[in-house]
Amino acid sequence: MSSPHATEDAIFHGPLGRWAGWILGSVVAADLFAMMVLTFLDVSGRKLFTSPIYGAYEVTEFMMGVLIFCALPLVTAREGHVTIDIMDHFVPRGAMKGQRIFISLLSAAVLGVIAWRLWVLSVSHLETTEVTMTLHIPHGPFTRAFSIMAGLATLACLAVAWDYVRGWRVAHDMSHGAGAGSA
Amino acid sequence: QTVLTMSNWVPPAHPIVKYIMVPWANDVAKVTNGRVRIQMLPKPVARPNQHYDAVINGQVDVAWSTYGYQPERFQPYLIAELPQLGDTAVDNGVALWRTHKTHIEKAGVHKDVHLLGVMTHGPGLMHHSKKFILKPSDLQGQKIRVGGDVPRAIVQTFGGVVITQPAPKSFEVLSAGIADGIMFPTESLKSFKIASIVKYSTFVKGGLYSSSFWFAVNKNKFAGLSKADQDAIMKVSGEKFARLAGAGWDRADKEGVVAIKEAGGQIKPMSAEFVAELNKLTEKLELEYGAKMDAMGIDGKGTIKFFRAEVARVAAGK
Amino acid sequence: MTETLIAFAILLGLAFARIPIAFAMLIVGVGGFALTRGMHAAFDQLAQTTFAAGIDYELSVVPLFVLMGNFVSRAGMSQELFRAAYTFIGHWRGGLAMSTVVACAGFGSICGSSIATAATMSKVAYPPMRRLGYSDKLSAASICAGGTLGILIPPSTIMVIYGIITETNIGRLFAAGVFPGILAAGLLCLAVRWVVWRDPSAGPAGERSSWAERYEALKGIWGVAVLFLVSIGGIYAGIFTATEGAGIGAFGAFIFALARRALTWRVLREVLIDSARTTSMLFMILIGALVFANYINFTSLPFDLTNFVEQFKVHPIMVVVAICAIYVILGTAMEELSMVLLTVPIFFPLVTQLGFDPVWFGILIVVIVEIGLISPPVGMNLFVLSSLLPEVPTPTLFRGVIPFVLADIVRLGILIAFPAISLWLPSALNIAGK
Ligand code: NA
Ligand code: NA
Repeated sequence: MSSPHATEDAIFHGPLGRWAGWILGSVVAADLFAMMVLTFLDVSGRKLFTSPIYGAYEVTEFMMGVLIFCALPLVTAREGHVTIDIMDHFVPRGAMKGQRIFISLLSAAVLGVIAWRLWVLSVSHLETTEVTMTLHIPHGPFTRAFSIMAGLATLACLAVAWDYVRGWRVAHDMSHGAGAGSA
Repeated sequence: QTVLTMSNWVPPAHPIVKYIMVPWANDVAKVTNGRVRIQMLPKPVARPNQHYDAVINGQVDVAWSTYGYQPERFQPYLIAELPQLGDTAVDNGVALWRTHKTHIEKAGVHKDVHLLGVMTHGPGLMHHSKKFILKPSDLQGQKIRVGGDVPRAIVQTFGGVVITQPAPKSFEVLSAGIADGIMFPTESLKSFKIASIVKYSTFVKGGLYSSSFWFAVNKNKFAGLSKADQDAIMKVSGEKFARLAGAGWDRADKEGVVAIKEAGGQIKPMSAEFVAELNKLTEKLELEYGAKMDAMGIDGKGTIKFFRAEVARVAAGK
Repeated sequence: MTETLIAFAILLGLAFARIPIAFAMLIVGVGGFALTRGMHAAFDQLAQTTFAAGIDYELSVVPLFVLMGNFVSRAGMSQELFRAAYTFIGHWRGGLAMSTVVACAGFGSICGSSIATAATMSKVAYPPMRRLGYSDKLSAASICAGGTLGILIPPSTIMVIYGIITETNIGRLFAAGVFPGILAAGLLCLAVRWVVWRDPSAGPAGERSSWAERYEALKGIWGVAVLFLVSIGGIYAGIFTATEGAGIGAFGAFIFALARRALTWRVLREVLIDSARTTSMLFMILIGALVFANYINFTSLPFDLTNFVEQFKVHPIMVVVAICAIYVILGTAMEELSMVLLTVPIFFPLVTQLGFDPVWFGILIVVIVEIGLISPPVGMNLFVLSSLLPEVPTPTLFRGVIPFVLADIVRLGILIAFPAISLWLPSALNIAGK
């Protein structure tokens, strides 16, 4: 990853992108740590003191949502989504730049639609007071936040496209070592 | 021929599908002379609490789900969760439909769909893995898995510990001793395969709680049918559906009782002392429900009174 | 069926054009849904599925097991595992490579990822093998192949993902992986033996350890044993649910990493963010697969496919064998996770229709992914190893893994022939099916 900003987890160029990336990183780090501690406290509370944390599982659910959607711009800025890159050998060097710009724009379109539709869903959640069964946690604020995060990921994706346009990112044969870390 | 797709979020062998939805779909085919056919999807289109929106937005044509999964949205219909109502699912379900027609419908909760019917499952019992819950003090310190506000209020009022885990985890939660007991209609002991774990069941007349369900079709899809077909479908829906569904649930409860017996479990009534304490709680829950209804412009007290009167009427065969 | 096949062709086209696999599935899933149910319904489906998967309690095991794996990788527990295995079998010819496999299996019991297992073990096992004069072919390949045990022995992220998209009980899948995991370790050790039998200089024998040393080394792996017992053991002992086990395991791994002074604030932050990124990336693929599967739900494809297969009148087991063969071939050239996610929504209904156990098929899928991870030219473990061990030429590594790939294919055959190896433990533990 040769982008000038990818290493610092900035989600796009400039101080704002760095700052946003740092905030998101801090949020997901704190959130994941809290998820872990919450499970530990819930289970040990139940086992040792017969007093589990009421509705812990619903809290876990929303903490996980925050984790995934806040990390989405970070993944996107790094071009961290899993791709099949075995055709890279067959793409002419000259066409690679154009290919990457096209892919980034298409990805931005998909993320943009997700952001838009999550926003629409958040309107419905707020209007109908959608809440969870046990703790009555409202869905609306979360759908709205997730929509905003998907929007940020869209911006990050457009920034990636711009990087390629300006030559700040260079497309090269990645069919080795693209770190998916998935399996 | 019009094909209406239907989504079920329980397995095909579940009583809701077997005893309620498939018979209803057959009725529809019969009364419309095959002009309307219900097609069951192999998999649910969305999570249980998303089915209502899925019907509104046309992801699927026909669906049903539990009111309690969206407690704020469907508050008026949670009346059927109150303790000590009817002794059968038919009594409660038909009473809920009539209450919907007379008192709740005008609040417009279901304005975005065409409501085909409502139903309730049978009376909820207390099932325990180690002992009978007979006296109020028996519940002290016991870990009970519950879903919904009424069961939770019961457990908390009597000094129990509320365990909140998703219903599909019931087997895991009980077999691991994460919970000592659970509140369910007898049907669920068979569905969730837990009859051999919780062998001590106790009940009160009218049940400790129940759950209510909506059953609806997409508005445009329904409007697109001919008037004759619409009328024909409604002839096997509404109160007729509440009866069909109630009978399905009651049949499933009977099978649950058989499963309990086969697993060596027993069912006992709770003591008069428990019932006396429960009466006080029921009164409090009714006040709470009534206040919420009043805020929505529905006569809370009157609604509850009407519901109880209808339960008695249905039980008397009316 | 034609439309579905066209949709599938478009999906593959997009994916091979390098569109991120998650987005390719979203595009085709939403597009197909729009054609069957209308645009409005398709967009609603997209939002609902995205939101629901994002807050699914069952899925919370993914970030927590990923986190656990990242903590144990930092805590250096792989060192003790390797030492313990070495003291027992290091003096055999090829003993170090076998120790690597055994240590990988041990590490797999506390880490849910093959790549993390291979990466961690490469730091520990490669230097001693090099010192003793092992051929690069054997040393790098044994780490590469051993690493795949990370997803077969519970915990396993792949099993969780399979469990979610097919609605198969994750606790049962975890239990089902135990004996196939032991079988796998045994067969990989046999592959090592075969290599050193062909070429004794590839893996010279190490020193024999005394029983006192063995006892000492065994005491060193208490950390791993405790972590395994606490998280996975706790699930089967019924102390907590599988979902909670992930949180407890992560917490335990955190305590170990802390106690071993492996964590500074900076490292902790890095580990947490890294786990979050991996999780988010996995979830996007998962959401894509769910949206695509929702479209398939409205087509007659599963039904048509079953009919298509039935007209050949072959024994159902031959269908499974054919599916596995297709997978193994595809797996040489494709990224494994996307391969599985793209195809499971189509093959799963067929296989279960034919009456096979979803848990058993899940184990076969995991084994297929394992094979894909190490079968050249495209295998994630191969890439990880060649980037971590730049001194090993890639062609050498490619040639080195061949015996291990063959051992894995033998294992796949054994698991197909004897479903009981997978299914006995989950039924013995009496874990409720869904
Ligand atoms: Na593992
Ligand atoms: Na491969």
